[in-house]
Amino acid sequence: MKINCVINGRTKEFEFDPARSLRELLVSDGHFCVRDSDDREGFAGSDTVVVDGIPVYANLMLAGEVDGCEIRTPDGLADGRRLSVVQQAMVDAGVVQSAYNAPAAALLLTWLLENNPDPSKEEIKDALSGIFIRDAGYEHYYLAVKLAREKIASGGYTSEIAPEFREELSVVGKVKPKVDGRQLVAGWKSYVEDRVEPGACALVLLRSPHPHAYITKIDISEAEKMPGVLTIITCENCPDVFYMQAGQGNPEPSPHDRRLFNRKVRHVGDRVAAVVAETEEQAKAARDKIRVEYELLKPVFTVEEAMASDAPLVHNGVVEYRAGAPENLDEYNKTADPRDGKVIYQFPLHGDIRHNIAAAAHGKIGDVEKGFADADVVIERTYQTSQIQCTPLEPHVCYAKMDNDRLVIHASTQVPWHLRRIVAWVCQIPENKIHVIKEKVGGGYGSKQDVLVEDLVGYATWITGRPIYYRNTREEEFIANSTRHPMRVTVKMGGRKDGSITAIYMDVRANTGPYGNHCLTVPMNACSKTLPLIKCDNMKFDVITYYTNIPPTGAYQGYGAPKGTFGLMMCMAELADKLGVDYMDMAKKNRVEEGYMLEILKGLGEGREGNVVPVGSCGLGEALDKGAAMIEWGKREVSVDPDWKIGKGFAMIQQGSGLPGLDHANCDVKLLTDGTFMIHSGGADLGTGLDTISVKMVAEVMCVDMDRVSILSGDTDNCNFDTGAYASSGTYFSGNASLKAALDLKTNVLDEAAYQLGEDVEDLELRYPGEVHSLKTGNVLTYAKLSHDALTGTGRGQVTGKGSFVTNDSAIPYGAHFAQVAVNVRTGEVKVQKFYALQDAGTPINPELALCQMYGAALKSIGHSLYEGMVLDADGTCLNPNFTDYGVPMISEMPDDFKAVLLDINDAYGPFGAKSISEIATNGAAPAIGVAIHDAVGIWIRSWPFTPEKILKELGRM
Amino acid sequence: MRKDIHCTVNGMEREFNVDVRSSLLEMLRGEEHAHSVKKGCEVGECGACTVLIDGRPFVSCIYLAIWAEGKDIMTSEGLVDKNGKLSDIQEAFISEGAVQCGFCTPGFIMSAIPIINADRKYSRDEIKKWIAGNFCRCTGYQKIVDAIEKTQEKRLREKGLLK
Repeated sequence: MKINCVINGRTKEFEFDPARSLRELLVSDGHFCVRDSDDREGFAGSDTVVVDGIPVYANLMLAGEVDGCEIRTPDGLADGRRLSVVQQAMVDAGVVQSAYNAPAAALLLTWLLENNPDPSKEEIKDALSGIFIRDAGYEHYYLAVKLAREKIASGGYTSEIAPEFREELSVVGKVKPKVDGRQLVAGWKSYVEDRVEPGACALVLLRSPHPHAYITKIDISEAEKMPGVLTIITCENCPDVFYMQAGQGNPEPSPHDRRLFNRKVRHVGDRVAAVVAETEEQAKAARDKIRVEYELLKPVFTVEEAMASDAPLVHNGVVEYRAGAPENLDEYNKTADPRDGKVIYQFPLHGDIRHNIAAAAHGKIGDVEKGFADADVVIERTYQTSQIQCTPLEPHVCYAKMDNDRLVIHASTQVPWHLRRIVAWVCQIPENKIHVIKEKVGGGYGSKQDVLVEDLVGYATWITGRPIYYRNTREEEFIANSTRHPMRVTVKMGGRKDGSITAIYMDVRANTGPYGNHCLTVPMNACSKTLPLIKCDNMKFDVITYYTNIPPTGAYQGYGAPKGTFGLMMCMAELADKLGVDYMDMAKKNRVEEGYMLEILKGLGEGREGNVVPVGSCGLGEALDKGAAMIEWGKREVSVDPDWKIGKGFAMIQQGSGLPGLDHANCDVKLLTDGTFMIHSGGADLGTGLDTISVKMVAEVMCVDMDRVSILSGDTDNCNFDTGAYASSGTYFSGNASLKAALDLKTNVLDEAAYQLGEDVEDLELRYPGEVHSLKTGNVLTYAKLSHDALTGTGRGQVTGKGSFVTNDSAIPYGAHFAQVAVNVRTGEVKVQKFYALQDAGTPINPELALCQMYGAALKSIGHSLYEGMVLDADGTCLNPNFTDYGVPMISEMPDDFKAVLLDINDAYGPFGAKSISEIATNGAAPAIGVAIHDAVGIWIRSWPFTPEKILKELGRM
Repeated sequence: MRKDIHCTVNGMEREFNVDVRSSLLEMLRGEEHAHSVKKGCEVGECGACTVLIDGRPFVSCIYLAIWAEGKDIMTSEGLVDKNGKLSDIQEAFISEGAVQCGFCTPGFIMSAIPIINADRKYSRDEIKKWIAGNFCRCTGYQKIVDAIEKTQEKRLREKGLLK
């Protein structure tokens, strides 16, 4: 039908199917920033638009309904290249991170301020109640509104956005707009989906309805005849190449235990067949014609089921080792079933697949038995964590195409170079045939450290030669993606009446699900990011990871640390309770401090001997002192409502800054002909502000404004190698590489200036706004003149700087998170009234972004602690594979009083003293809330999530 | 006014809804995403948009899309096999050095198809006459004629028509 409407003030006439959605109409008109992140569920708000003055979800409105209406979309807010006041305020407040929903939020806040110029906190919360933000934790949205109001009223900001650090520096440690904030908040082309060209083919997957089965027959003959079908890939015709999807260092500490398609399916949602066709409808129609017969096998879902003596084996294939094979391997393989394929270890991970063990690790210092014997009290407790989904707003997505016989992959990834290596291996082609372009990442959180869709889309494009666009549905994000490993952490701890800890034993049993992505390193991390918090001479750990038939697991912000911290800190609180000492006193007495030698790290390398290092810069003590004062530790709070009991808790936390000895980052920077700069960095910014860090490094060293420096990053053709953005490596590794490149450039600029001026380098210095100044002669040479003369017919060539960063030094971030909760003893409900996140991130390079990452991570982990968790039925089918049923924290679930505090610590090894910021912030909420619940009502809830049912059961009321 | 058009493109049955004023070139590039069909002059002079219609070369920029009703159309995309392998004529253009900027190449190749499919040998002069409607600024045509000549000889040998 004919649809007449006004979009962003322009009159439009469409001939459009009225039964299609308003979003489809708007996208067809070029408003691609009206996005869909929830498959039309009406939850996440990526599709927010304003119709006749009312905000609506464009997915839930029919195109036919807007005939005669006036519509506003987020891309109508900016005036050409000039951002609106609200958009700029959002960038300045630091809330524009991975930003998939930032344009929609900008539209809502604009609408709010137009209708209500002086909104209360409740009114702002109400306006944003229908929009899901996973990255920035909502808190600074209030600040963004405040800034926008100040700008409207007085033309400038009067509020402090974030504290600033290092007075002697000009841009590092200062509040400066994120370099890619404009494109993200304005809704300009940014993400993989924005790069898809007309004519791209579609790929859909047929997935297993069974948790554990052999495919006995697969018939694609009818499907192949369907219109538009280009190829169908199954276990019968896919490459016989074993690999794994985790984007980890090479050789990987995870087994190669899968092909693109396997003869055996190992979880509900496992790949059975891929159909590539010219349109999605054609691909789906052909998918319906594929006939599959299965031989069903008994599944295992829990660690306990997997370790049972008669447990069915998830992997019973041939085991191979690329290095370090045991002598009895032939004997071991005698019972292998070829239908199971292979499990190829790159080096021994102490797995035993005939007992469902994917990997194991053990280590100790001192003598724990002696330590327990020396204790006045010894307790042993078991803590269980649940399976959690990362829920990036932008699902896993890939657009691949051929360009002159090279495979070009537009990827939303944290690991461009691992991605290139894995796709090359799967396709059995050399790496020079592949170009990976990392686009803006609409939320990664670890799930995009794994190559979960690019392996297949890359291969399908390579064999068909056709451009292919693939995007996970939200359901596929839950059932066939990567999630937090469920873990059973048993902690045995001995203590003396003076509060000292005499021995700690951690037994970690992890559930890796059907494949071994990160199967050694995530569970080890539960020990390696927790035990080094404690000064104790007797410590021991056992880590065993089991294969099961739950949906796949992988990396998730925090890695194993949130689970380990939950176990260790809860157990310490329980021990303090038993000993009758104050938990805070115990934490202070036993915490590590600067200079303490971390012997325990020796056994905690990732598949190799770990580096024993002393504790470097450490804000742990300050975090505890400040946090205790803020929350008034020891002061009992009483609610006026007798049903609500109030308690307080906290947890000490740490993480790492990348993987010293394993990670590697590279950066190049060049002086352009007019004296400005271009950076090529391997670092993969996934919304965190890493590009801004690199720009700040160059601007600081070269004494220029940030807008004189541009950056291209994460592009495998145009940038040099970087292991990727995981393990909190961005600031420390890629940031240090940028700093080294900047310092190298400075040396080369001074050298060139000395040559051109005929002076000595020692007499020259760089000066703002971009010139070389001679202290001896007073001569001044601008970068523009210098570059011009270097690039004339008689010049010495382009002036560049190069930085390559590896290290054995650690920069460990520390912190403490505090919670005050209210527990309703009649309903079991838990409310987080106060949450204070205090962290030592070294020098925060981007303070406002750092704060927002802390809020985002803390709120995520509050969600994990209180209600998030995938629920499987008896057949292994996920019952809550969508936002509504799964439950993620919306703005209304925020703590009433939420504060992120950056401690002023300067690290010796980080760039300008910086350490990592974000992963660590997911570690504290569960133990802090768990301890607070005990403080409130006297019960220990030892499993995630802390649901009302569990609370009422422990209270004896259910 | 718009009209539904049914035709075959590279062996696939297609249905398009086109503006009656649009050219076959616009339909092939815009709807079919056949980007080998190049928009060079839009007045039928340069031959960059040459496609086969029922086996005969036409410049698609001055051929109305609606005339394609019921026709069998082939573009350079149709020469590449399912696994992405180039055809002999395309390989010959590369190996003979007939591809420089490449903008005219798909059009030349489509003009050459009747020659290489024929059961008799065309002389170089005849080849030149057949590709006279295609314009190339880079190569000076010599290598293009070489590529077509070599491919026709190869085909004739395969058919046993040439020793």
